[in-house]
Amino acid sequence: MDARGEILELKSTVNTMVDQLSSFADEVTRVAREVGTEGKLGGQAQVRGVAGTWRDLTDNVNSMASNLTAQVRNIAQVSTAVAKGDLSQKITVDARGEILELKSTVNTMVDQLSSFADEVTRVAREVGTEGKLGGQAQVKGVSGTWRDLTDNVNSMASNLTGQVRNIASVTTAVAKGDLSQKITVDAQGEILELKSTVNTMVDQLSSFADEVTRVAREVGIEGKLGGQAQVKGVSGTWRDLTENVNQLASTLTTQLRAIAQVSTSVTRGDLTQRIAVKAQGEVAELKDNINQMIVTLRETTKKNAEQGWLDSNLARIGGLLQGQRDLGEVCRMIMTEVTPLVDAQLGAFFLADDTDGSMRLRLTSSYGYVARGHDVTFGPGEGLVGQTALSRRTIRVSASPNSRLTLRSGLAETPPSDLVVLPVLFEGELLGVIEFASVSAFSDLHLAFLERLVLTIGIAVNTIQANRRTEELLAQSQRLAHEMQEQSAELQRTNAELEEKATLLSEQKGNIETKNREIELARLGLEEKAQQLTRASAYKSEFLANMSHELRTPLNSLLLLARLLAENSEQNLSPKQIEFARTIHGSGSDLLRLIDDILDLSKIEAGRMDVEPTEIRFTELRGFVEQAFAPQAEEKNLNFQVRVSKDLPPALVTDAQRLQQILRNLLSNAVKFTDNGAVTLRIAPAAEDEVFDVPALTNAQQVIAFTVIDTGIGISDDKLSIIFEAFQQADGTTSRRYGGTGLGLSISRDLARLIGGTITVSSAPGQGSTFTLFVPQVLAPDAVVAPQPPSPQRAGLPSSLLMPPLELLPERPEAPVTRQLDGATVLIVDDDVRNVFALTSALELHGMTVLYSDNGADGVRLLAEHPEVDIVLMDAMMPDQDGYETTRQIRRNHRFADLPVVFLTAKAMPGDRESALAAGGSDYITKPVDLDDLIELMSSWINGSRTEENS
Amino acid sequence: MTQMAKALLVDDRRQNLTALEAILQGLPVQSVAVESGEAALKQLLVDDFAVILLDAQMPDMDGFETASHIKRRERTRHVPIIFLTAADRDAQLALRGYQVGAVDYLTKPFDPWVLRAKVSVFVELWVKTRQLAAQSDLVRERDTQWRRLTDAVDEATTLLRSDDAETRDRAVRLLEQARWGSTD
Repeated sequence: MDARGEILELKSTVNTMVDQLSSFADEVTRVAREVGTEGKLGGQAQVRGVAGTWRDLTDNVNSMASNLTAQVRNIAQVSTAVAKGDLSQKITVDARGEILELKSTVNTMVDQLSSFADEVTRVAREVGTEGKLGGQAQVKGVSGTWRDLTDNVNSMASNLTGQVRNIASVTTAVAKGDLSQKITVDAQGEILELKSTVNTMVDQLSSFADEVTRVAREVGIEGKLGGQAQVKGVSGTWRDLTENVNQLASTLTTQLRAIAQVSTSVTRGDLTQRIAVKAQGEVAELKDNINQMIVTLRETTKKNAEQGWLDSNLARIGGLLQGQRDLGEVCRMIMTEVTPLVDAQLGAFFLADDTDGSMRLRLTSSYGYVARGHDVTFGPGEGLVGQTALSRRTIRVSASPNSRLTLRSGLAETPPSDLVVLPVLFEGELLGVIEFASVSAFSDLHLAFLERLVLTIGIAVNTIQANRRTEELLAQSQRLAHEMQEQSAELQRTNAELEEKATLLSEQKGNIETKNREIELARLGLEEKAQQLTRASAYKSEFLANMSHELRTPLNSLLLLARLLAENSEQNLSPKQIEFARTIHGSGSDLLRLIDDILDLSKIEAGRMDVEPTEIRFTELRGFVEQAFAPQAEEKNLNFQVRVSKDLPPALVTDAQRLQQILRNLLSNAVKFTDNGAVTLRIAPAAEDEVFDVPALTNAQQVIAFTVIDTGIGISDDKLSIIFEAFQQADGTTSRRYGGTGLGLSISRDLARLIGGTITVSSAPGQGSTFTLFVPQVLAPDAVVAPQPPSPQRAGLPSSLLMPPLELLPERPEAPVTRQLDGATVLIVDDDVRNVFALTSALELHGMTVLYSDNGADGVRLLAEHPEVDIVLMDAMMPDQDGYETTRQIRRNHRFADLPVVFLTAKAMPGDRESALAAGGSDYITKPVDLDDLIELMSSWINGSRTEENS
Repeated sequence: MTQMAKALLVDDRRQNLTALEAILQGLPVQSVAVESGEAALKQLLVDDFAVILLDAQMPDMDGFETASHIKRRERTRHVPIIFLTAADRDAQLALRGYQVGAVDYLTKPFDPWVLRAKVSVFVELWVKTRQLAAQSDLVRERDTQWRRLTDAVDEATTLLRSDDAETRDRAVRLLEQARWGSTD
């Protein structure tokens, strides 16, 4: 600011003041900062140039600063002592106010610190020095950092405790041999070092132990010799230990290998080895044992070898002996095989020979022996051989230098030094003797071998001898068998021939049987068929007969009534009605004719139509024909003629009825089918040259031809063949126009055949037809059936019966027995009308009047109506109301209390009489009734009652 | 003799009986129709007949058996039997019919007039027989009467020869009694 003057002065004063003030402020601020803030105690404010108040002020400030400094320095001193661990210092400076407060606080702090230090020291001593682990500092009344500190100390103590304990447990484990333990606790610093050292130690120990264990296992258990423990990084005792182990392993290895080697040799069969390795203690014992064992083994092996030799040679010789047949060969074989085998140089085989009756031992085979050109034989007891044979014992002669016997070769002669003579026995029987001689002594083995061999040889020789005998027998039997075989072959051949023949026979028989069976079957089949046919035919005939009856019966009444109606006798029918009735009658008649025709046809076919030949005069025939057909022809305005040839005999013999039937058929056909012109019947002898296929006609002396000629519609050629078939007419329309059944011609043809004739036809449509019936003049006798017994004439009444019986007034014959019954009245109550009728006739003959009732009720009624009844015959068994009931009913009426009632019972059942009497019957008689008994019975009852009445 | 002649018609078929009755209509005969042999016999036990028309073929008791029963009974054996049969013209059957005593054997179909004629003959015969019997009775009665009269006359004549009046009176009484019957 620009100022001038006073102002400039003021201005500079003010500015000086301001500068002084500013300096003051700065100084105070600096001291305050230094002392208060920066801790530079002792600082003094140096404000220059100030006076007055400002100086006072500065002095005050400085005083305050120095006071403060003294107090602070005391406090600092105590604090430093404390910091240096001297907890005995106390703040002694006088202070007031806040500083006093600070002072006491610091002192308290120091006390507390002291207490804390004591406690920590105690813990440290206990834990660190005295080894009392688990100790804890117990500082009371501390808080904040102190508490934390205490806690830290405790934590440290517990950490240390944990670490030490862990290490202790590991080392304890190691000491106990457990090398798997490790110190796992967290540690730092030296503890960590310790931990790792201990762990390393444990590792090494573990490795060492492993190694030693491995070697021990390999060498000791698994047998891997030569193993060495390889423990690296060990030294001192450990190395020594390892080396000891290795020493042990190698020693063991050496000994074992020696033993193994020897064992291997022994195993390979080398029994000469011995274990030579040095050993002590148990191993030495083992070595000795093994060596002993080897020696024993060697001896045993030798024995086994000898036994084996014995066995194998015995087996070999036995094998050689097997299958041998020839004794000499066997002896030779034994000599050649056995002698060298037992190291003998001489051998001889003597066989026992019984042929002479006395036994001799004959030299059969020898080895190295020179027989002097003659049989060498010994009797029993002669020489050693004989002695052996006698005693059956082996004889051994050693060292006989004076023996005559010598072993000779081409070069030398040596006396044998050992001789053995053995008997060959089988089951105690001597078979031979074997002798061996050797320049050296026979070994025990060889002797044993020979002892056993002779047994085998004995068996073999015996077998061979037995075989020889067997063979001889076999040969004999074979010879016989051969002869038998030849014979049996012969027999077989004969048998075979016989068998062949038998087979042939049985085959033929079988064939015949089969044929027979077939024939039988066929016969049975035929019979069955025949029976079936017969049965069918019978059924048919029966059926037809029945049917005809069944058809005719209703037809009869129909026809009768129709006829009656048509006659209109009561004159009450219209012409139309009459016409109807006539139609009914006509149709019925047609139907009846058809039935008759069918019946005729079936009867002819069934062969049941009988033929009755009689003599018929031609004039009669003519009369019959004219009478029958003239009116019909006349009705149709036809010319009807009957011409009878003059050449004919007066009569013919045939079945008149059949002949008439045929003629009627032919003529009615002719009339029917002819509308205008003529119908002619010509009767003449058949032409001589006529040829017939009917035997009766060809055999007949004369054949009569009945020819019916009409001028009707005729028949075409193709229809001619069928008109004789049943139900056939020339044309389907024919029957409609002319009626008829179509059976007439069939029947006619069949009838013609029946009477030994035939019918021929010739016709031309529109011209007319000609039917000719040929019949033999005399029907052959063999076709004639016996004439029926003369039957009463059919038409009209028999004359004998026309005369009425004139003995109308017969005085009834009165037999004596009937006298008492004459005029009596009897009531018969019985439902069996046959019985009653017979009874009635009998009783009527005895002059009785018979009343009849077929049931009980009517009987009672009849009795009431006819008081004259003298006696009742009562049937016991009747439907509805039986005789007993009826009788009881009768007896109820007093009028009939004494009326005799005689029971008729079908059979005499025990109790019938009682029942009858109980019901009120007077007496009873059994059916079938003996008439005399009945009459007598009735007489006695009727007379008795009459007597009663009379008295 | 007012009793009408009766004809017994025997057939197992009702319609045949009707036809027969129709045929016989107008004749002086009363038809009695029955349907079996048994029934016929029962009728014959209780009635008399002028003629029997008998069907030969019937179930159970056929015509022939029926006829044989009828012929065996004295009282019925003279009743004429006419056999009617629908069976075929078998002579054997007819013979059987005649053998059991038939007077005739007609095969159906028969002419109704023939049958009518035959029946009428037998009816007439029966009537005649009846008349004859009646006349015989009458004659017998007359004869008896005549004999009685004769006896009485003879006795009376003997008595009349006596002089005794009382005796003569007795003769007169006797004669009167004989002539007029008993008066006391």
